[in-house]
Amino acid sequence: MEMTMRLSNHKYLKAIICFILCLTTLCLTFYTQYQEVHAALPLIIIGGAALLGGLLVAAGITFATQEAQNTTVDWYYGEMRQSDKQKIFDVLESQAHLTPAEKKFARIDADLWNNTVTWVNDNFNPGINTITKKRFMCTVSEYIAVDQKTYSTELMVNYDIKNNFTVFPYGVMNPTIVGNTEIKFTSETKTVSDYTYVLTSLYVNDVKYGVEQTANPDYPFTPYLYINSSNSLVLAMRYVDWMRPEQGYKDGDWYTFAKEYGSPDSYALNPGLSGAQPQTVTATGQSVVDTQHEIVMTDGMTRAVRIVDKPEDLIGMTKNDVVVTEIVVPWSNTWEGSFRDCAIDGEFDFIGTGSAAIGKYAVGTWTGTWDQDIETGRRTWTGVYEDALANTWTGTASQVIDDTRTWWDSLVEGLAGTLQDIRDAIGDIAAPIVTAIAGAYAAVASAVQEGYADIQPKMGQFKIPDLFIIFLDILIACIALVVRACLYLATIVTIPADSSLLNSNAIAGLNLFRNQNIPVINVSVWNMFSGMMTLVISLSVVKKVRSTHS
Amino acid sequence: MMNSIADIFNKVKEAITTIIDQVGLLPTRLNSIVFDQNFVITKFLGLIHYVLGTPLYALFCLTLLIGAGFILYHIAKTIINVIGQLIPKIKGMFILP
Repeated sequence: MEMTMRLSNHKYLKAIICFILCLTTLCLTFYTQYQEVHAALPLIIIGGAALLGGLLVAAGITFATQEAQNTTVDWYYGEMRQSDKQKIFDVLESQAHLTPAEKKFARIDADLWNNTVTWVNDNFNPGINTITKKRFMCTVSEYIAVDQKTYSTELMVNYDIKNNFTVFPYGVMNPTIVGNTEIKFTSETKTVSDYTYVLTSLYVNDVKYGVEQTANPDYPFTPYLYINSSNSLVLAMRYVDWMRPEQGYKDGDWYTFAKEYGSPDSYALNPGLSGAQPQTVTATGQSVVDTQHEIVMTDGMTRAVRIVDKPEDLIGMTKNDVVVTEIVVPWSNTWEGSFRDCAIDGEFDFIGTGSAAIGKYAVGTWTGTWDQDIETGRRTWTGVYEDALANTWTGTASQVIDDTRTWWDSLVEGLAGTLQDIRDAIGDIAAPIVTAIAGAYAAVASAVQEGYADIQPKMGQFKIPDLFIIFLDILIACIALVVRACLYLATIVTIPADSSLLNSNAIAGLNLFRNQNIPVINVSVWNMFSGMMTLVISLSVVKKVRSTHS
Repeated sequence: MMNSIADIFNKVKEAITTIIDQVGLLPTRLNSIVFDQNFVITKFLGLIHYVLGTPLYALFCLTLLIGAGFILYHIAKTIINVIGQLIPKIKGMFILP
């Protein structure tokens, strides 16, 4: 009897341990993902400033002060489309795998480039611009649908002051968390007598706020956040197409839940704001990129923007300092490449010699002049190419205007080039081999000596008693961790419900499931399920306790 | 071949220095683990609370607490047995059922 009890006790214990181990494994998976998210965030905030700043300079802004640059970068980041933000994230993440030379530039695709140029054109004029912005520190959780992750970040919000309030330019994401406040909305399409409308409800911390808004589905409303003159965050409903004046809607067509139905004017959201600090942006707008004279990459679809070491390096730079053209350079001082200049209309080949070889990619800027020879039918470009590492090449580019060569001429030229390469490769084979062997011996000897010298200070740093103390520290830290975990266990019952890990579709599905009513007994499916499971689990626990004691 | 030997030696050297550095940093890392409201397990439990609802979540927490209690009891019993074996004098002084 005693043996049976002991065995059954051990089985019960093993089952609980297995359950907790599975739970811990699941939690660690989430934890790893969160570590990646948190690792990415500083990259966006720190590394992204140099990239975004360079992008804005490339699009035609010259910053006079660091403050103006920071404000404008924050301003632009706040107004960027999510898809463009995702492209910036991707560029920054890909930087980790590049060589130092390749990290000096970033390829920008056509959409991101066009959106940036459009934004600069809309907000800056040629010449000196002085724009007053308000900057707010606001903790916001952004759910980025493309990434399917929620990022918590402190947004420096600064936008134009229109109609005495400052606006988050795009609708609140669903859900949006500001401090301890969760804002979400639901939209439902209803049809009454052949008239279809959208019913939108707003929830703040799961409590319905105000009254539902109805709207024509052709011009749907969406919740917006804005900051009023009292520095309070206010929720309002706004037409999504407010930026289309041709539709008859313009900025100012606001419908606040509060104002419409006589409730208080604003809903103050915690933690609120750190205080509005008027900030003046002084920046020089240039005649923006004239695509007719823009040097583009050979594929014609992307361009490269230089990434400076520190954002401060961008002060005073113009677009010519950061827009670069990428070419492919072989492993030698003498290289050939090709690029296309829109002003010249057509591609041409470049042959030149350089001061240094940096490998497979070179990114730099071109300066030069064209010289046309009518007799030969060729146009020659002579100039200087300087790459991002300040290596320079001088060379000559030529373009055939009237190509009268026959196909066998091209074939012979190609063969001659290939044979020359083969001859260069198989000649002087011995010299590199001898050099490699001699170098290898020297490398091993110096590596051993260097390694010993490197390790010695480290080994001398720790004596045997220090090692015991380190292990004692680790043991004490483990015990402290276990104690903290036990204290945390005591508080898990008080953890409130949190839907931030779910995306909006999952929440909508869950709400749908919860709201389904069983017609006859008028009880929701969820309530019935919850009650049944409570009963089953309670009875199981009672049965287990009774069987253990009997 | 010489280069590969040098590479192996360098890798061993790097491994030793990395191990020493990481062991030194371990207590700091353990002490920096904080169980606050932004902790991922808190968010996960919040999610379970949201999905299950309050009554089922309370039962779930009860199960967790009972399981944790059993484990702590088992750990305490093991430690006492180990101490009792190391120090025979106090073997009979603490008895856990």
